[in-house]
Amino acid sequence: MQFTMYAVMILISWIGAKAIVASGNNVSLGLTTGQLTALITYAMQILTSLMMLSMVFAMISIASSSATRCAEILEEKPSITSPANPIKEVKDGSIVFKDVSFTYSDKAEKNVLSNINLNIPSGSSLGIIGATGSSKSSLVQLIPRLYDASKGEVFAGGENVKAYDLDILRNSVSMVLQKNELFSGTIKENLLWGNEKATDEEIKEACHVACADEFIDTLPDGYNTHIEQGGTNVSGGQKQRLCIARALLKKPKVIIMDDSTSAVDTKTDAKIENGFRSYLPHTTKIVIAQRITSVEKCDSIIVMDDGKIVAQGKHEDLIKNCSIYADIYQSQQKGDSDNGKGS
Amino acid sequence: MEKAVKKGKKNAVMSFKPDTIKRLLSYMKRYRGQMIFVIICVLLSALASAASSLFIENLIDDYIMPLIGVSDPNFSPLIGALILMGCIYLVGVLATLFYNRVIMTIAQGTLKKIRDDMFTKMQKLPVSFFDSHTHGEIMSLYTNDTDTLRQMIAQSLVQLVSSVFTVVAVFFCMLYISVWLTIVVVVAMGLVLVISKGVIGKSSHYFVQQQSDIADLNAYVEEIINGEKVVKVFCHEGKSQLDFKEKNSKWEDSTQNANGQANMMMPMMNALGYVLYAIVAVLGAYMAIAGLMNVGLTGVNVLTLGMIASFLTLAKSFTNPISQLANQFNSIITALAGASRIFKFMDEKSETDDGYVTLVNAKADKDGNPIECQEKTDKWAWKYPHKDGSTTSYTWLKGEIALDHVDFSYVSGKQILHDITIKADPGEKVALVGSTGAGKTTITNLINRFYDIDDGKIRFDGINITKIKKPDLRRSLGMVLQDVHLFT
Repeated sequence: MQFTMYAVMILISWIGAKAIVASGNNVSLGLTTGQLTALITYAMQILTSLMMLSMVFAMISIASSSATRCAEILEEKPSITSPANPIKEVKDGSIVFKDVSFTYSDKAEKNVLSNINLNIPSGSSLGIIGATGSSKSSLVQLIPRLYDASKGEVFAGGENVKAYDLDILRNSVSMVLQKNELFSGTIKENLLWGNEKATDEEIKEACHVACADEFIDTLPDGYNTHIEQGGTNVSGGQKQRLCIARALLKKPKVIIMDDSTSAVDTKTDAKIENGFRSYLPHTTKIVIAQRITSVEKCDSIIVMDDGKIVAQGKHEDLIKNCSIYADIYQSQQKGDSDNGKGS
Repeated sequence: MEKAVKKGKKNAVMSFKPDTIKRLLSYMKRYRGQMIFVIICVLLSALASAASSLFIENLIDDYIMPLIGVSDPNFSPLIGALILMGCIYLVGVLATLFYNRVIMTIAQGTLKKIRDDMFTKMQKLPVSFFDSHTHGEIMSLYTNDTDTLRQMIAQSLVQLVSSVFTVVAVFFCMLYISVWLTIVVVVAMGLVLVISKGVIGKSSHYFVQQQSDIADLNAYVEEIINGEKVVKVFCHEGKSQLDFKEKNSKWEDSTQNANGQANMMMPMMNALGYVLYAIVAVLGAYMAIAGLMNVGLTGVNVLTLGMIASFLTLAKSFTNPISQLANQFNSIITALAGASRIFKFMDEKSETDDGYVTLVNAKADKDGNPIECQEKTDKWAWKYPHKDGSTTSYTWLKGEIALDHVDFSYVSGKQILHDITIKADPGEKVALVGSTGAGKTTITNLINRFYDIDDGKIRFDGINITKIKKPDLRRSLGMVLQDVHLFT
């Protein structure tokens, strides 16, 4: 560009000089020196503008590639959406899985879950036991529609989960995730995620059930204690109990606890369990656990292996009839002291 | 989040430390040769553009006017002059081309070095640093703050050199033509600068604010992405959108305030440039017509048409770089704000390691005592150089851990562990049982020296772990954390 500018300067000078000499610097005959000065100024202005323009074009091409990337995200259609005429209420806490199979991606050949049939009556409790990688978490994530089943149907409160308004469904199904996340903010702010309108009494009650009040009360700032991002300044068990309290505040129809007491000691675990019974008597409880003690009191327990339900029944039955369950029970009875103690 | 906001405000007020520039330059030191080359090229390029202004004067007065009215005009001197100018222009163009390329190498190389250093530094920071800083905040240093530096090195520095040089060169060229007119131009520019200083002064605060706001926004996005499942389960999308909007508009505000005022500069300066142009033209014409005495460096004379034309071009060349300088000033301030954030990060206290006991491969001598050897033996020994420096003793790595009256607190004043004494013999399996929050994880963190104890001693095979070099200590311990991470 600079090159063009200079070339034009020289050209104008040469042609201009000849024209002026030819006209004798007389306006009526042709070009004059004054006009030449003006001409050069004009040329400069035009060229500077052209230079700007070329810069603008360069910038547009840079910006357009960024814009495409942004547009890709904006145009990405969420595969999980509320239906057109959603049902606005989950009637009760009953959960039914009917021939459910599931894969995380369409290309995966192997099913993560295959042919799951399961009936959980409203208000009952279900324990899920199984080795790591047996797809326990994948199973329960289908209930609040974090993922949709690849085949088969999942029913909640007697209706297909896909028929519900997504917010309604997720508000009725409370889930304490395996990978618990607390967010930076005070304890109270974190708990209010469960229910924005919760009163201080309700918060305290939920914390009491989750056995979180005992340590919160010892903190100098109590419920206003600041939590760092990811909850790095509370211990693993404290974090889990806060997450449970947060889920309880929703007063859900179904509560799912995905290995969420793994870092809580057995005594507290049992206390939380009991609290549940009185705090949420009509809520369906689904508990995924590594420890048999966490699930043995459940109305029904399923044992999972490799994406399939291999056995279902009460604690006493399973010990007799299911070898996997009995094995786990045996190993945990023996070495209870070095098992599942998080830290 | 409250904390982060407070921090941001403090940063903004603090602006940048004066030694930031010095440190930045030290990073560019290894490019000294290239820098000098760039400066020379910039000067050549500026010279070429200054020469083009002077040329117009000569063109009209020396080459065109004498030919007018001549019956058989001789164009050869004109052709010679044009060829000479062409050569000068060519040098200018090539110089511009070269410095643009070289400055990119310098900028990218410098930035790479800074990013590398930041990452190395990050690995040395103690665990407690990451407890109190959000990941997004740290990541912003790698992206946003380094990018401001790129802009400054690649664009502003070149502009700075070329503008300063052009201004000086053009100033003398103007003096060469007319002292009076030069004074008029300089006084007018002085006025303009006083005005622009007010504008810039206000906006520089916002530029610093902008950098900390974007870090804040980054931190929030990072946190929400991490907890996306939780957000979904709790139907918290709406609320987090609100929070995001709030942070986003804070950034919008600071950016708008910063750039809005800064962008006013260019048009303002341009407009003033035109006014000046008109004033000089009228004044020059008047002086020429009235035949007033003109003082130039060449002597006392009367202004000619060519001189006025040339001076007008010069006046424009004089105002342009000054307004460009004013424009660059903001990007320099932003970059320095970014740089001081980066350097502040680099100045964070590293994990200190005063250990001198190391872990070495060893084999047993006749008496079964360990001696150091180079080859891998699968047997390890602690190498313990004694303080007097003369002797070194070796003891086998056995795996005996002893906590002796250990007190510990994460935050001073809030004791977590009190008077803990535990002993684990080699091969022994010790389990820590307790209710959550009792301090089980904390004890393991102490053995690894993620945190340092307040009182008492922790001994590993009888050696106080503060004396063991941290990498060797951690090499000898295996630890499975509660929050497990795998890497790609």
